[in-house]
Amino acid sequence: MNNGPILLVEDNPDDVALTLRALSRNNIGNEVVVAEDGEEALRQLLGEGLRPALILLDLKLPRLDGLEVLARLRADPATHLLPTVILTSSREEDDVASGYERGANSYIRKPIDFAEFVDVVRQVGLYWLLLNEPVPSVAGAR
Amino acid sequence: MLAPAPAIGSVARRRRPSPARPRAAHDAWADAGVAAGVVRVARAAAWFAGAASATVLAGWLLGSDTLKAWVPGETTMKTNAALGTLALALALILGVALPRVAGAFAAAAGVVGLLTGIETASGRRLGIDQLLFSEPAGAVHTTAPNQMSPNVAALIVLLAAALLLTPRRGRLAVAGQVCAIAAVVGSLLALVGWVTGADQLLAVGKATHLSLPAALTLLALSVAAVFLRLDLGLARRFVATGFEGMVLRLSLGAALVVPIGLGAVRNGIERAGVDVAAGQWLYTVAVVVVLAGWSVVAAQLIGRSAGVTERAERQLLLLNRRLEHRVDQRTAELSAANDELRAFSYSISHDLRTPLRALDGFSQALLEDYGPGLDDTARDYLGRIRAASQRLAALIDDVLALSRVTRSELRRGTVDVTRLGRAVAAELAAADPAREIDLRIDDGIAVEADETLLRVVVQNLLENAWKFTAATPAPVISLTACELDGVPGFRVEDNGAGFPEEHAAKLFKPFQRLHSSREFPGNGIGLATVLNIVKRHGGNAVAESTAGEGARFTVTFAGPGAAAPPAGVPPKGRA
Repeated sequence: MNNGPILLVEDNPDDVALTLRALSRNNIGNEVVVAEDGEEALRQLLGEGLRPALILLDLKLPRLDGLEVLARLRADPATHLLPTVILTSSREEDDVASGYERGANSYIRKPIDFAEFVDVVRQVGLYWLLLNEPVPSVAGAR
Repeated sequence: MLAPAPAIGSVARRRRPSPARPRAAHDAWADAGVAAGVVRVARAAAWFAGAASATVLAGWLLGSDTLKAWVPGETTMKTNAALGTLALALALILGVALPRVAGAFAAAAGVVGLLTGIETASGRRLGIDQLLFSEPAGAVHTTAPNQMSPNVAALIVLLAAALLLTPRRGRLAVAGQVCAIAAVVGSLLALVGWVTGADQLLAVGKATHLSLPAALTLLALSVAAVFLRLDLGLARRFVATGFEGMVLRLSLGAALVVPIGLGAVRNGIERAGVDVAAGQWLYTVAVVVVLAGWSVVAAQLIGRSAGVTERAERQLLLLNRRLEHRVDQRTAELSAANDELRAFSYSISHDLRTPLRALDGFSQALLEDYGPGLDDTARDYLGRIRAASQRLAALIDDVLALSRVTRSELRRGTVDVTRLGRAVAAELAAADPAREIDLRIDDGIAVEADETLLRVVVQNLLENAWKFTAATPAPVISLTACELDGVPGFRVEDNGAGFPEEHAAKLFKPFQRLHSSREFPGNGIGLATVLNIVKRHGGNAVAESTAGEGARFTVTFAGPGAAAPPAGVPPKGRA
């Protein structure tokens, strides 16, 4: 199990609370760092050198939106390999396409049904923190 | 073969019996003023010919050589010739009112001309020449007493043919006008012979001369015959609008008047004692001068026409540019509106869903964390909050799907409806494995449409059929190829709940539901989306049902006017 922190980039406090609840219900005990907007996320990652095991990225964010954050991450050699999962409300084709074009590892639409959402978080955690072999340099940089 | 001869200047009479149209309605190709003038001239010519023929006949009745020959001591116009030209004149005048009578007159004139021709060729008398009036032997320039000149006979036959053929269709009509033009040339020659005193132009060898009344009458008849129909050949070009018509009218006038007029002048000079060679040269120089003058006029005309064209082109260019500018402007406005709509639906998709997730999530949290402390009613209420938020989420998705239909670009290609239908049905069956449905999907259903949108249509129709057969004991759902207004499409049919026939049109309106949510859940957007997609393709959607006996939805993806792809040629794939 990868025990690195999870960076949750999400501006809505309800969604933050629900995501934290879903993580804890799945017994995912990793530290969760919350960034409430795009600039905050970049400050954590590029400024303070946070190297999370997984980034959960919302798209619609104040100041700097998720796609822009992703583009900056991928442009910086220090963060360009961080596993980033877009977790958002939109299923607009444009968003999905731009998400992948900017280098998202995965794109997941948040279900309304909380039971489903808990299951989504369980699967995402299982895959990215347990099944998936992390990039060695990223693991080492932690 | 008595074809009805039409009136002078009338447009072709088609098979349907139309009321007489003395002033024919000419289409846009004809200059209305010129056409009316031509009709007037042709009419006057026919009346002149009739009056001239009647005058000659009166001369025969009264024994007046002046009336018979018009010039004392010259060749008389013979009785049968006058009868023939009178018949032809009547045929031209009566054409509209009594086409059959006119045809009979023309045919009669033709018969008289032919019989005279036979007489002349065989040298035998058939006894037709002196039938009405007799002429003493030895009349001026007359081989056989009261037998018309073979030239007159030939012209009468030509004119009879012209009047009989021109009203017909296609090549026959053209042949008729050619006969009339030939008659103009023939009678013009005769008239020139008279004006210039060239006797060789009035008869072949020792045959009877063509008389002056005959020459004038036949020329008048020929001109009228050329303009029997204004929608044909030379007559059509003559009355044409614009420069084509003007140049032709002026040129024809010059071509007729200049040589003949100058020829007559030359003749007069020669008679006055000028040397023949000098007369010849005077004539030639005069023709050169007049034709040169005409060339200048023609060049000016053509130049003016070119100027007009150039101005029109400049105007057109300017208008085009303005139009382009306006189109650009409108396109920009539209695309701005479209962008706004896109931003709006994006924000709906994102912002409306977020609070719903909170509603559902925290209700669930309450149930999980405080469930044991809550009574049944409280738990029921929380369950209702969750169900409502999920319904609203589904509604938002459907509204978005509906708006996406109008936004996305249409990419047509051949879509295998059979394959699509089976795939959708498999998904539906997997989602609801308890249902046992008799599914009948025909092989080889294909339509020209946008595949992504077509899938939405098939999905909605099959989902509906699935839903509304839920309470049916032995549900049957079929997907078959069919035609609507002659356009190929397909049809989804079920034996489920159906709907009252009178509500069929309401069905395609957004949010319109004919069943309570308790009976069949749904939000009433599915069929609105179907109709939207179908209309974007230019097609149509029709719903038919009898309540309780199932429903039938037929959709097409092209208008009735759309050309079907040619059989055997594989249709183009998606662009």
